[in-house]
Amino acid sequence: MPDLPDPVDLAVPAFVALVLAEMLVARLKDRSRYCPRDTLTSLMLGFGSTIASVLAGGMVFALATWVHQFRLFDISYAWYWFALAFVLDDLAYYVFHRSAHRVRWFWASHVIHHSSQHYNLSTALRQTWTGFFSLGFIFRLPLFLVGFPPAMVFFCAGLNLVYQFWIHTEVIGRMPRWFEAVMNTPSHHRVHHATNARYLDKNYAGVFIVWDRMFGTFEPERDDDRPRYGIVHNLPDFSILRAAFHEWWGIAKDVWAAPGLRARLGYMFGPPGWSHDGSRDTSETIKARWQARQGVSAIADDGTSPLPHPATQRQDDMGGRVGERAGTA
Amino acid sequence: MNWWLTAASLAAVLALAGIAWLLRLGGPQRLETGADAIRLAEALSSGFEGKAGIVSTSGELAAAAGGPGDLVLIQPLGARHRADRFTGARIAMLGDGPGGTAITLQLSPQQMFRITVPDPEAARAFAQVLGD
Repeated sequence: MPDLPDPVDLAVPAFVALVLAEMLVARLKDRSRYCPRDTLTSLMLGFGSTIASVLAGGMVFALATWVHQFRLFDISYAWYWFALAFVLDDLAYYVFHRSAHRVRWFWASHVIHHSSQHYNLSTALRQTWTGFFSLGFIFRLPLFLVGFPPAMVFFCAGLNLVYQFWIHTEVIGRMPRWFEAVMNTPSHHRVHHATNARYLDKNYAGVFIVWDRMFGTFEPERDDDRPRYGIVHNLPDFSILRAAFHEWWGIAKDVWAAPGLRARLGYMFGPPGWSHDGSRDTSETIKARWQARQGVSAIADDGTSPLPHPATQRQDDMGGRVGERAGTA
Repeated sequence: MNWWLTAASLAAVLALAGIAWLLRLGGPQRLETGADAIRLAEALSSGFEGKAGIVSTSGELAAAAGGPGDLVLIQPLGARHRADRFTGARIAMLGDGPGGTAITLQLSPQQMFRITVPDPEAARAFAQVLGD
């Protein structure tokens, strides 16, 4: 087994240099892109995450090695297996990441990464402390069963994480079209971090945006709907501990007060915002409400509602849509 | 665990936060109009639909009313804002002064909040929507 380095460790100096460079750009262009207290929180959460990873990493590696003994194939360390492992690991990341937004148990661990209202390179380092506890590593276990060596998979996972660093920025607008078509980019990932109803639960990709295009979760960034960052219920302060644990605390309170087993399970494994009496907002209810409002305002303004409502469907015999003003393009 | 890397990372964290502070990054964002307040309240408070908004004379505080008792209060949080929604809010006092119209809001039986608004018309429209 080759002694593979940890790509994240090697990238730390570059992380520091690029955050510094982005701060200087912010100083010149838009000082609100950074906030010192938010930056300190993000970076301390990143620092804590590395400590948590070290503490849990041995157990995860041991589990991966145990699973690997039941492998279907013997896969060597040839370069092409690294390439395939990288692609499949990114697919596993997509599945994990989608689950991390759709299942509250995983969201409780992942929400930390979305808890800043800023979107800059320091936000990229705002990483979970509770990944091991939430069992997020189970999404990679199939790779070991297939036969990819644990060291190879963890090396690829490190590269994946390093790639995702640079896409957390507003400094870069759009990349060349061919690149935007295949790769995850700052534009695609700004959508993922946005709380605008249009953008909720979209663009889960790690490295390759093709997974979102394939599985129907892709949403392009629009110039007329600038992303607002954060979470639906933003944190009231810059507390590091609150950012790290608030959703777990929320789960504990809800489970404690829940009426019955079904409600308890719903509060743990339902989508974020689920409630037994329907009194809270999930991303679906937020989107539905937004679409209804869009429909009303669009009909009122120019009749170009995005809703597939009968009243807004194209009426070919009328030469336009219901509500469309005569003479407008 | 690489202790040198850990120590260097912690030093870098503190250095970067210090540099952000030295560069004077961030700072409160001023709001200008009642429409700004409504837009922000709707963005930060899921399900809220604002009908009247007010902004304080400093431009840092704002509030939006969505109907009788339905209030979103907006306060600065670093270079962004935080929003708190109250469903039983009411106007406790409203009076004109040299600095503008002072509105005292009762957010809950134990919680009061005062905001001074430069535009008396906007203050009255806001009070009308929120009710007393």
